[in-house]
This record gives sequence, structure tokens and C-alpha cells, in this order.
Amino acid sequence: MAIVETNVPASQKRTGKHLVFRLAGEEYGFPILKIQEIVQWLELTRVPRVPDFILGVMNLRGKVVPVIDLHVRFGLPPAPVTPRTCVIVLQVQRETGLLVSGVVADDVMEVVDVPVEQIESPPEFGARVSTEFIAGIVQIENRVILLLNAEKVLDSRDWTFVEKVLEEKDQAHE
Amino acid sequence: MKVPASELIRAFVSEYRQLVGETRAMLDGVMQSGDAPCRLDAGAFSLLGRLAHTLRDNGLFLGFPRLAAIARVLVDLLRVGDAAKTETVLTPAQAQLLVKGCNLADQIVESVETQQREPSMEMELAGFSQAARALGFSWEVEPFSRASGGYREASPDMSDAEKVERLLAEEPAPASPEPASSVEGASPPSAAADMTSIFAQDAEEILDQAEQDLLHLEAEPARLNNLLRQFHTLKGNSGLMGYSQMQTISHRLEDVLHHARDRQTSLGPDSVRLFLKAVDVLRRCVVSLRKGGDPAVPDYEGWLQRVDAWVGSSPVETPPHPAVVEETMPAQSVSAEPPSAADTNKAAVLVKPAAQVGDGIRINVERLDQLNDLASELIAATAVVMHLSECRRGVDSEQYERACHQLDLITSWLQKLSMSMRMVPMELAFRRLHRLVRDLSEKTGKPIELQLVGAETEADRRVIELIGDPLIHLVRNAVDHGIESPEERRRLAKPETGTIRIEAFQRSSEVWIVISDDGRGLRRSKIIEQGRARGLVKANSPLRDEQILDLIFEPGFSTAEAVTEVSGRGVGLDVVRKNVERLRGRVEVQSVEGFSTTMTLRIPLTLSVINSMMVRVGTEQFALPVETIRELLRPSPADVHRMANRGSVISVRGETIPLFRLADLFTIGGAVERVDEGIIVVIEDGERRAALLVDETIGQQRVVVKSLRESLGRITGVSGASVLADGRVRLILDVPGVIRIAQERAR
Repeated sequence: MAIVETNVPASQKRTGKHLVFRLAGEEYGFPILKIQEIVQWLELTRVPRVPDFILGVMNLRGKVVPVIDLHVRFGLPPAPVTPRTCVIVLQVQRETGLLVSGVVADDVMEVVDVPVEQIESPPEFGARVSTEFIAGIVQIENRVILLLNAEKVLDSRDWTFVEKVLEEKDQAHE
Repeated sequence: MKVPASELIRAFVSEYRQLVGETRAMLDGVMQSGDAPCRLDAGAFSLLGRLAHTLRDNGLFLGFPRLAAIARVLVDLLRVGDAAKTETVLTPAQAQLLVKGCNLADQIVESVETQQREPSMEMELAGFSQAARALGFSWEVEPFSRASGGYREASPDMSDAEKVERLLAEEPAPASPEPASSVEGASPPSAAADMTSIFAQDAEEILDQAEQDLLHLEAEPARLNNLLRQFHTLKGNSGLMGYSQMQTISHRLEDVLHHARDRQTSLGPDSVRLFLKAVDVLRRCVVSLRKGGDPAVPDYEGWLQRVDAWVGSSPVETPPHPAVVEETMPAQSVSAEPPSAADTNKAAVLVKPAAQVGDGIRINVERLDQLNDLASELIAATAVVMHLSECRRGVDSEQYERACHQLDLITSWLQKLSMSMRMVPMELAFRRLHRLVRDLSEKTGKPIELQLVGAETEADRRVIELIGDPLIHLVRNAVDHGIESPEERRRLAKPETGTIRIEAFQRSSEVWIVISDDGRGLRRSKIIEQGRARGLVKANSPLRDEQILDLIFEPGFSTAEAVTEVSGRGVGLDVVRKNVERLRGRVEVQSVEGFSTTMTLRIPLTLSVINSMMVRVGTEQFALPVETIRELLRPSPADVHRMANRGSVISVRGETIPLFRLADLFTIGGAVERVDEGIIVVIEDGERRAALLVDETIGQQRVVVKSLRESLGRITGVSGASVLADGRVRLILDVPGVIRIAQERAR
């Protein structure tokens, strides 16, 4: 099953540059064109009553930007914050405008140039991450890198659903 | 309502200044061309054309004959070119005349603005007229009945009509019917894209105004003159842009008006209806233009025939058979069938869904000047601070403090000013309601009086934009489900004509919009029944009246069958609430069963900066909007009472208020447990109150609100975030939401 990214500019299709980062000991990649910047880990402000994969919000030069914990989102074992922990700030286009969000990475490795023809479709099952987030898999030497779909990872459309569940939980709670 | 002369003159001057602002640089360029022929590109050319037309029309209309005469020469002069050409070349003599005319016009407008009348300027005018005649242009200052000039009451005297006639005669003949359709297709107007958008915005404003005039024509026949002017201007503008179909239709409509005015009568109700349809058709042209399409009139030939038939028959005394109107509007589904609820929904289609404030905004020049001044003061003040921080040694703290204080002062002025520039009158949101009610009333067969109060109330333009849809929703609901049929009202001994009243006003830092109708009100028993059926209400749980009425805002109540069963309200009320909450506002409903329903929308005046109280809970801090805090308390444990299974309450001077730990509501660890360890903040939202236990209050602060909606969606209890001086992000609590969470806990 190939996932076609419809809104990827042609230039990216050709070069296929990806930023590789580490998460719970495994390697992942985001298309470089979706990345706005990488910032050092800084203390976040927690937001109540949001899904638990949202770690909080941070101040990015006066803008308030949410930060997502992919460990939780992907169901991976949690990792402690180390000096190498950082936040990758992504931007994706949505109908309502440009959405800027950060994701936590345990470590940022390098930018790799992935030839398009080497990208394989993700396996339908058996992958360590739900296939909906994966754009493809690439093998470089002995490394296996999961290329992520930034839009899907940041997609908050199902979050409102989470909000509803929380409300119901509150009601049931008493 | 008669618009005072000074008001009209002011509007004209402001319009003129805007146009001139855009043409000034161009004219400078023209002057510099010296003896060489002067070249104007299409954008410049049509701008100048609009300027000339505006001057001429307003000169005639407001009774400034010299201005009109100069402008007429300019219009004639600009006729050498043509809007469809990419470039127009003027001879040096023509260019000089153009610049001279514009300068003279400028002087006249200046004096009109300050003294409300034209200066005589015999010498200058003589020079100009000579130059004009030398180039073959006719020069004629229309004799004017009142020598002093100034604004003339719109009177139906013949000389007036004659003047308008002249005005029309001068226009280039409207495109003859046969080539008209091909013109639109063959040569797309070559004017620059921004000209198109200026034209579109103007056209929208003109059509909006025309609609208002039409709707009030019956009560105020003098508005006929306004209408004449609207269509005349539209005709002129469309002509300049080369939109011949719009031009022709406007021209014919103007003829109809002219005709009516000749007979010193007004338009009959059927004519008004035709005009309203025409306004819709022209609007559609503008919409298509905005989308980058062709401003072709849908069913153009049909419209020409229709309007011509109108002119041919006598539109006033004997309006054609109503059936003509009905059957000539196939696209708009005016049905002769008895009105049904489904029809009313269709009716709303005619109304633009949202109040469009437009992309541009008109700003008073004075405010812009102030902005400029403040900006330069800010630069100066910043320089002082920078300087002081550079030579840190030898600066006493008082000096530094003073500089910082100055900076703070200027910044807050700047913020106030920039906010005031965003304010627009409520009228823009009210505009569509007359038409809506008229259409709905016609379709449902319910006579309705719409009362609008406080249209001049100002609010942030985003508020006006977002409030348009909810208003339309609420009015539609009121007509559809609130107001009874005339028969029923008679039976109930109510006046046959239903009343919908919408009132806008400012109260402290909020805008209130109160929508009330004298219809059948809300039936509690039905609402509860529906609530139970949808699982929103637990069986046998007692509900307070406001809680019952609140149920109508639940998404479950928005379905069609609930609408009819629950005595009415419901169409998208959850959407109404959502929109209002997006503005950090809230909706309240009151209703007397059988008599009335009142919806109150309360919206903060400004969206971007709020005064807030910072509170700490555990290691976290939150901002609470100051206007939601009733008091701060340090109670003794004796005032707190535990209720079996229902949490705690605190008694404050005899009043019992439910008590919560904010730490519990937001699951925060490490916060104080006992009331005597912390401080209690009593928050209120209308009638609802809650006492929140926090660790401490930190102080008041003005914070800039940043929305989290786009990135995180709606979070109950949190209205936004703000970045504070220490660089940390703090959440701003949404008090109605916090109270809702608290109530759910207590339930």
C-alpha cells in the first residue's frame, strides 16, 4: 500500500532530503521541507484537558506553539530528557492556514538524501508505528529509517474527539 | 431619516481624499513629463477616470457647479483613452489641463470641506476654461438655483430632473444590445487586478447601500435620489472597467428611477421587488468577478427585456401584474405555493452568509497621522533606553526608570490606537437583516417588524465578521419558529405583526447584542423531554431553569425534528454558541413561555489584550480575566461545608457558592489542599458563580491573548495563551468553561 503525498512539491520528490532523528532508540525521518527549525529542549507549559501526547506549549519567539510527544503518540516506551533532547518545529499547510507545531526528538542525527526509488511502502502490519503515520521506509547501509508523514502526525482533527471523551469521562467520574 | 448635508459632504470629501491619495503620485509623474507626450497605463487611467466621475457626480448632486464643470472637462478629456487599452497617451497640452483641473478641484474640495461651499476663484476658473475651450472641450458652469451653493434638499422640481437628464445624456451611449454579449467574452478588461478588486469592493458597497435605500424607500421616498446616485455611479464604474452588461443593466435601472422621479412618485412594491432582484443579480456579477471570472449578467437578455418592459409600462401607477415578477425570476424560486418551513431556508440563500466587511478598511487620516507620530515617538524612546543600557555605568536608576516608563506609555497608546483602527460599527453586521426579515416574512406569510437599535455601536472588525452568521441564524429561528402565524397570533390576542428587536450596546468591556422576539417562547417540558431522549439529561435529576434552556445549545438539538418538536429553536444553535465562544463571548437565553424569547450575545470588546489576574496552583500559573473575578477571599475553615457526595460549598456573606480546587479541575499535583493555606477566587459568569481555591495570587497584568484553537482545537476551560515577561507561556482561563467543568464535577 503506497501512501501518496499529494502536496509535496516536485523539488522534494526529486531530492528526497529528510532529517533523521532518534526516538526510543529507532531512527525516523521528516521531509526537510516541512521543517521550520530545530530548537533546544526548553521547559513547556502544560495544557490541561488535552490528549496526553500533547506535552504542552512553548514560546517560540513570542508565538505559542504546541509540542507533541511522539513516544506517546506512537505508543513507544518513554525516554528521559537528556542534553541531546530537542524539539523539531514542523509546519504544514492546512485549510485554515499554516500550522506550526513541535515534536520532541531524543536526538537529531543528520540530513540524508533519499533517492525516491529506494523508498519502500510501509508494511501493512508488523511495523513498530501505526502505518497511518508512515510515508515510507528506506534502508541505508544497515539502518532502517521510517519516513513520517508530517501532516498525519500533526493532524488534530481527531483531537476534538478526544476532548469529547474527556468530557464524558469527567461526567462518569462523579 | 434625512442624512444631513454636512454628513454627505463629509462622505464625499473622504471618498475624494481616498481617490486622490491614489492618483497623487501619478499626477506628479504627469507634470514631470514636461513637453513630451504623457503616457498613462490602464490602472492609472481608470483611477483618474473614477476620480473625474466622482467629482462630477458629487458636484452635481451636492450642488457645487464649478466643481462639476471642471470635472466634466476632465471626464471629456479622459475620453480620449479607453479603459481596455493598455496605455493612453496624452499630449502635453492635455496633460497640463488634466493637472490644472485636478489642482483646481483639490482647492474647491478643500474649501467645501471647511466652509461647506465653493470658493468663487474667478481668475483661476477663467484660465482653466480658456485652456479647456482651446482644446475643444465645452465649458459650462450650470446656473444654480441657490447662489450660495451648498447642499440642496432633494426636491422633485423639474430643473433638478433636467439636470439629471443632462447627466445621463452625456454618458456614452450604453453598449447597444447586439454586441454586448460578445464584448464581455471577446476582450477581457485589461485593467490591473487591483483595479478589479477596488471596483468590486466599491460595487459591493454601492449595492449594499442601494439595497438599504430600496428597503427603506417606502418610508422615506427621498431615498430615491440616493438610489439614482448609486446606480449612476455603478453604471459609470462598470463602464470604465468595460463591463458593458453591468453598465447597461445599471443604466436601464437608472432610467426606471429617473422615470419615477420625473413623475414625482416613488416605486411601487413590485418595482422594489424587481430592483432587489436586480441588486442580487448585480451582486452575483461582482462575486464572479472576485473569483476571477467574467462579470457577465446571468440571463442578460432576459433582464434587458424585463427592465425594458418595466420602463415601457408605467412602473408606478399601474404596476404590471404580479405574475410577471414571479415568472420572470425562474432562478430564484419565488413560488406561489403556500409558504412552508423549507421555503424559508431557501430564502436565506439570497442573503450573503456572512457580513462581509471587506479586505480593505477605511481609516480616518487623523488616526493614521497619530499612528505615525506615535511610531516616531516610539523610536525616540527606544533610542533613549538603548543609549542608557549601553552606558550602563553612570546611569542612575531613576533616569532608567523614567525612560522605561515613557516606553511603556507609548506602547500602550500605540496599542489603543491600533485597536481603535480595527473598530467598525455594528451596522455592517445589521445591514443584511432588513433584507433577510423581509424575504422570510414574505415566504412565511408572517408580518414582522424588525427593530434595530444601536447600529452605531462599535466593535472589533473580527467580531463584526464572525457575528454575522449567528445573527442570521438567530433571526431566522425567530421568524421560523418563534413568531406564530397571523391566525394564531390573533387567536392569542397578540398583535398580528410579530416583532423582532435587535439591540446592540456596550457594557463595561463587552458588546452586548440582544435579540428578542414576541413569539411563542421556549417550552421547557419539550426541551427536557428531548434532553432525556438524547441522554443529555439524567432521569429525575432536577435542573435549574437556565440549565434547561442551555440544553438548546447542545449539538443534539440542532436536528430538524427537534426543531419542530421543541417548539422551535434549534437550527444550528450549537454553531451559534461555537462562533460566539470563538470570540471569547457567550450566549445567554431567557424565555417566557408563550410570550417571548431573548438571546443575549456578550462579546469582549477587544480580542487581543485583556487585563488579567495571575494565579498560581502548584508549580503552574494561570491568567484569569479580571472582569470575571468577583472577589478574593481568605476564608476560615468554618465557612466551608462539605456536602454529601456533592463536593464543598463556601458561604460568603450568607451566599452559598460551590467550592473547587483548581488543581482538581485541571489535575495539577502539589497544590495546597486546605482553604486556609491558599486563597479563594470567586469567579462569575452571569448568574453562575464558583469559588476556586488557588495557592496564591501573583498580581494584575495586561496580557496579549494568543489563540490555541488553530493548533490545539477547543479546550474547555482555556481560552488562549500568552507569553509573559519571563518568556514562559501562561494559559488564560475561560471562566464560563471552568464553571462548566466544575458543575459537571458537582453533578
